[in-house]
Amino acid sequence: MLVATKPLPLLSVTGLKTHFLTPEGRVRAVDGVDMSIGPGRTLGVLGESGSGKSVTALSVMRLIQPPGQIVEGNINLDGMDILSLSEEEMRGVRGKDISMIFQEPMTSLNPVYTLGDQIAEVFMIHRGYSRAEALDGAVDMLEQVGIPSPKARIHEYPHQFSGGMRQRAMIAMAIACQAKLMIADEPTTALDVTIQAQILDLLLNLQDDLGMAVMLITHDLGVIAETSDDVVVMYAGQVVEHLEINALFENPAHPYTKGLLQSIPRLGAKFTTGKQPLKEIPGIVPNLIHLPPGCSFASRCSEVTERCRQERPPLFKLADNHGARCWLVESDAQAQ
Amino acid sequence: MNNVSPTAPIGDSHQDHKPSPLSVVLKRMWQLRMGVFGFLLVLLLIGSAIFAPVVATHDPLEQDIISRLTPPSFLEGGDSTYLLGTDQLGRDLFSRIVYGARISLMIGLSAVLVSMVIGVLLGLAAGYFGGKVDAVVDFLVNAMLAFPFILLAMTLVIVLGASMENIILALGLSNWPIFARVTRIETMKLREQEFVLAAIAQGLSHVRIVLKHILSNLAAPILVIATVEIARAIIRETFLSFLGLGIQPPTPSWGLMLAEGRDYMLTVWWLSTLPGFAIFLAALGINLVGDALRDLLDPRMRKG
Amino acid sequence: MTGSNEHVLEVRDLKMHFPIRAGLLKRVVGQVYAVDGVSFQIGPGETLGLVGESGCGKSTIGRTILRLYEPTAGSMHFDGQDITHLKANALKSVRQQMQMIFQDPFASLNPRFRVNELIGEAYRVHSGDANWEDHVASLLDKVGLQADQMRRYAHEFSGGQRQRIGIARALAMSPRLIVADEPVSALDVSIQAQVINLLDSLKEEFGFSCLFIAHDLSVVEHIADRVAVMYLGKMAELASDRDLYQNPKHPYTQALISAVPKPEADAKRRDRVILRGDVPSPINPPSGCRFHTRCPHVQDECRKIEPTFGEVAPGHWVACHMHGHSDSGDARGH
Repeated sequence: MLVATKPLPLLSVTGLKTHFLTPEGRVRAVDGVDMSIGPGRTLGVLGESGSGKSVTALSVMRLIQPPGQIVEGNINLDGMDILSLSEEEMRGVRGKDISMIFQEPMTSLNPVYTLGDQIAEVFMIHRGYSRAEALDGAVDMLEQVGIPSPKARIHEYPHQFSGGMRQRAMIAMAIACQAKLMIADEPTTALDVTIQAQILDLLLNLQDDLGMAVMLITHDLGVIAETSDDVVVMYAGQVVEHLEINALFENPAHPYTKGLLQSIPRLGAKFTTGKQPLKEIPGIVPNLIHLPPGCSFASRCSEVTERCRQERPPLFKLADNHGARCWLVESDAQAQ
Repeated sequence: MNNVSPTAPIGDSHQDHKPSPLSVVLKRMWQLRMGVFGFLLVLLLIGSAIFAPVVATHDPLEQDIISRLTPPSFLEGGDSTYLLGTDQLGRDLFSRIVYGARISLMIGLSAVLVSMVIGVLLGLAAGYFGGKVDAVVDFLVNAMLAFPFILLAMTLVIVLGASMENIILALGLSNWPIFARVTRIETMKLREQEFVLAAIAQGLSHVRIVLKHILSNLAAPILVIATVEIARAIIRETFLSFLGLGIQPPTPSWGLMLAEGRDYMLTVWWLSTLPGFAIFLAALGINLVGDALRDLLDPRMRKG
Repeated sequence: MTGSNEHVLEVRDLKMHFPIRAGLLKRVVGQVYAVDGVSFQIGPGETLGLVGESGCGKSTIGRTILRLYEPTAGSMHFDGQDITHLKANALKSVRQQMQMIFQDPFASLNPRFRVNELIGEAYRVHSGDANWEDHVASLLDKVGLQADQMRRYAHEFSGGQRQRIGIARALAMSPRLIVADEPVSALDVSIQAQVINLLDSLKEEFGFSCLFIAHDLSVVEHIADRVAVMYLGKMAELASDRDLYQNPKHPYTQALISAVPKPEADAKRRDRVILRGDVPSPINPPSGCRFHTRCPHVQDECRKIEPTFGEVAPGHWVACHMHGHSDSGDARGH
């Protein structure tokens, strides 16, 4: 089980399993995941499609719809047992204690309501403000996220905003009630890189001001590097490695993590080392319904052994804040 | 990006605990049970049509005046020789209904075929070339839709005569707009798809692109519309027959039987009701199949 | 092959404007200035990277070159031949020489076609080769797929594999130029490397020229020999890969390089150039230098006068008032 060094974690997820029961079979989207975030810290969740990163976030928010369901596990937010709350209680938590922003701000904002109305709604529902007070709050929020002329813009509709502005508006909604934890699922993937820089900068500043914890889900190693304190690497529904941010680049243990780091093109690398082909990870992600018997990464691993193909490795503890799910590190560690 | 991707890409070597194809099919069938029910009805319809000479108990045209207006066998006064009774000329109702399936099916299918060919061709042209072509087709479509169907069909039949071919023509010519509209919209959507751009970039001719690349992707929506239109064509034939402009006696058409039984509604009710019930079952079955087809074809197309 | 001095592609002052229509009568109420005066060349076997953010016009350039649009103004020469307004049969035969790889591996392959048809259709139609399937088999092999899968449908393959099919299709007619429009953007990170390496090795083997369009500067810089940076329909800078990275002259290029998140330790809170504001719309571009609304070094001149795209060092072109340039080489200039 993962525990942040000190203080007690704000969010603690243990043994989470979220499966989807489709006609073709049981999709093990999240299959035994542990993670934790300390208050005010940023946890980067690194993974590609099929890794289960988004499903994990949706599970924490209890937004999983049939045919999906949380099959097993424990989610604890600041002492609250999330999975035992009633739907009504959970609604009180969403937007207030935990907030979420998504990748596509156009589809996560309601096109027929003004931005002001949508932000105000958060205030009215969770804080019981009157409409006038709530709209004032909305103006404040837009200012905080750096949208110019907020008094005018609260009367505009989402389609009148650019992608970057919409994402800022989403962030405004998310911080309106000063949630303790913000989950950001690929918040900048759909944005231009110069806008991405603005948004990430905003997130980090807000985090400083509000002391909120952030779970940042992304596939981009650069984004992780520039935002996260701790990182969790997910593959095929499991956490394959968890470590601190600098350890990720200096000392990764899991072959998938190492493979990812070696396979990305880096600006300027060509001129120091000469152009080399990128060191690719062969093969493709396994089918989540028919997972192989051993390690899910075995078919693509350059260091695979026979044991890897037969037995699923547990998460081994390598150091206080470093664990890797790989047989190859067993000798350096103690089993969790 | 979709995190839940159950389809197995090629190259995945681990395939244990796979559910048998049979169980997947059975699960699907339960989900689409309405469609399965409709399919059974349609099967009944087609079966009657094809195997009419075998299934029918009598010659549908054979009159037995002595036995005229016999009630169905399950009612008082009924006769097991005539399962559903006889009509005003002593003809076996059951056999007439069974043979009537042939007529309805033939008319339904043929009329829709005519509408489909005209509508799809016009819709393809309008959707692919746009501009003036689109404007002309649009005008034609609106003009056709402004015409009440009955007026159009009646006019055609009166002018051309009430033979089966002419009825099919009348029904077909009056109903192509819906095919044109749907084809046009779908073509416009497909034209913007990258695989069409890719075909253009490879120097393929427009004709080839329209007929091979675009048409092949239209099969699904057109099929769904076609099934519903078959049901509607059958019912429209009923109208025409009712007005005396449809199939002429003594051919056993359901619509004609409805019309002929009109005078006897209060007493010999089965003359109209039973053929009416046949029409209802046929239309219901076809519509349910159409619905199920829409469900089946849509998500699968999106999966790809 | 033509003489090595002749450019495979030469684009001069290319403009591509799209009319905006509104109202019942569909009157033209404005224009989208997607590409507004761009000039560059690509030599044989060379890869030119085209990078920029949304609305910069890079994808439009790619499609215009392939004559999926007809240019509003300017000229394009392919192997010396003027293709700007070519039509019908002449266009068809040129089309075989330049091919495209699309971004979306799901939308760019007809879901109703089997793989052999997808890859080989154009080849079969244009060459009339009865053994076209052999050709398809060898192409599949070259892109790392198995030839015995050619009877399958596209949706049976993964995203990366579908992109390989798209590449095989582009190679089928042995083109001189391949325009790759965001070929790896829709793929997972671990698959991107596979496709990038594949493209590199195919370039070596087949020797085609390539216009590589992408928004990811790291990918572009890795694969390209020269890189052009686009902003709002115009080219801001064009230089060799090394010069652009080590010595970027245009403030936008500098901001772009700075904005790319660096996957390395201690990257949090590093100093960067953060541009303020949004990218303006290509419908209503700013006056003077298009970048002036966000430029950290903006001067009065920038607001009024558009800078010319000129060569400020050998092979290094910039459109910026801060960089004076020699008045030579105007045939290629803006």
